[in-house]
Order: sequence, then structure tokens, then C-alpha cells
Amino acid sequence: MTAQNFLQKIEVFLRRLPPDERKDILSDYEEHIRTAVEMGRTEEQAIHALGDPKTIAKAITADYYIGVADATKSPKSVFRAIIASVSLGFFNLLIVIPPSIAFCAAFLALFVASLALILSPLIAIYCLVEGYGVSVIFTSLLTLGLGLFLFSISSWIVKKVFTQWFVRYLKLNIRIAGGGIQ
Amino acid sequence: MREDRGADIVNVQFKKGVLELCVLVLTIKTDRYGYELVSAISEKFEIAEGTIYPLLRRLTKEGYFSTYLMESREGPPRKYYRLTEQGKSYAEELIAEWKSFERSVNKIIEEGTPYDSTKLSSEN
Repeated sequence: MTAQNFLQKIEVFLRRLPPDERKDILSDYEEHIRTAVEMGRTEEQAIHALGDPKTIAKAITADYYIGVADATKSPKSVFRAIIASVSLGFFNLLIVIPPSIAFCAAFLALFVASLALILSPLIAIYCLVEGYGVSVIFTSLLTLGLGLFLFSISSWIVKKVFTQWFVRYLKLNIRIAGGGIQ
Repeated sequence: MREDRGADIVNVQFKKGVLELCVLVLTIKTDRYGYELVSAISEKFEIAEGTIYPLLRRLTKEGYFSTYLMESREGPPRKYYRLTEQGKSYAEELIAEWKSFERSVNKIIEEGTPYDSTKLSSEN
């Protein structure tokens, strides 16, 4: 593999990263190969010692997305980080998938529950039409309030607590199974 | 896939921790550029050299390194890594951790090796 070849491969495997970030990483490896040649190694030797470009790029991508998830704590960035970690290998798949499902399920459950409560006045209107007393309206207003409350609470929990916990878990996981060290 | 996968993972984690320590310690006295760090480490033990760069990026992002470019005599500028104050205290922390780890392992070896343990008891 030539230096150009190696750098091209890294570039392709890093396509999901922002261009600035990618350029930065490529220049690191460019500098490394150049210096190695200055120090008397051949290009081939230097590249062989660097290791598999795909493995390196995957580790960098996962690191990057976990960094983003850590900084923004948004569910979207966490899902991206999950996907990037999963792509690191089969072992990770087993470790990452169960808590990911739990994460999604918890998020979904809270969301559905609060949605149901928010929509409860519709049921009250139906009840009224069916001839039940006016009191259902008050009850439904109460549940509506409860739904809104639950919704804001659940989004807060997902944002702060879950994401933080999950990002930490992913980081640990990356440190154990990830990285390009064979 | 392979039976020794578990052992591999422990090995990898161990190596990564050690690499982090090495990279930080190598920059305590003087700022260094990437190739310098890589070759200083790969002289001592076998690594995939490309893995040092993701590590350097992470440590930089976490605020343990600052970087700057400096011209080299041979040609284009090189990126130098300088340990920040935060990096220095982190390095010290890791060194202390390593030393206590090393002591524990040595103790286990001493206790588990018959020859050494008799030597140890005659010394006491």
C-alpha cells in the first residue's frame, strides 16, 4: 500500500466526520508518514506499522460521535454514538444492544404515557357525548395537566440523566472493546 | 469467534491504559511531535502505531494537551503536543495508580514464587 492509498482509505472510512475534523486527522497521518521517511524508513514500512486504516478510522469515528453525544446530550447524537460503537465489532454489538433497547424502550414508554394523558380530554368529550356527567371534563383536565407534566419530566430525564449515563457507558465500552489496538 | 477473545479484550484495555500513561509521561519534560511519541513507544513494545493518534486527539480534546505547529529543519511544520496543567496532574495521578498496581503485582509474584519468598523471609 502506498501512502496515498493509505490516506485515501482513511478518508473514505472517515466520511461521516465533518470535513474539518477529517482534514485534521489526515494531516496527522500525512505528517507521520513523511517524518518516518525522513527518518529513513520506507513508506511501505511506515504504513505497515500504522496498522489497518479501517480499524483506525472506526475507532476515530466512534470516539468522535461519543464526544458529540457527551457535549450535546441530545437523543439523536446518542443514537449516532450507539451506531458508531456497534460498528466497532461484534463484541460491542452484544454489549451495546441490550442497554440501547432499554434506552429506547424507556424513552418510548414515557413518551406514549404522557401522550395518552395529554389526549385524555378527547376521551372526556366522547364520554360527554355518550351521556356521562360533566365531572369527566374536570378529571380529563387534571390528567391533561399530569400528561404535560410527565412529558416535560420525561424529556428532561432523557436529556440529562439517561443520556449522561448512557454516554458514560459507551465511553467505557469503547475503552474496553474499541480502539484500533489489535 | 475465537475462544481467547475475552483475554484479548483485557489485553487491549490494559495496553490502552498503558499507552495513555506513556504518552503523557513522555511529554512531561519536553513538548513532542506525533512521530517522536510513536517511535519512543514502539521502540519499547509492539503497537499498531496508528492508534496513538486517536489517543492524542482524545487527550487533546479532554484538555490534557495543547497543540501548536513548529517548522522542522527537514521541511513542513510538525504538530507538537504540550502537556497542560490539567494534563500534568492527570499524568501524576496515572503514575501513582501505575505504581500501586505494580507493587500489588510484584507482591503476588513474590508470594507465588517459592524461591523469591524464601529470599524475602531471610531478608526480613
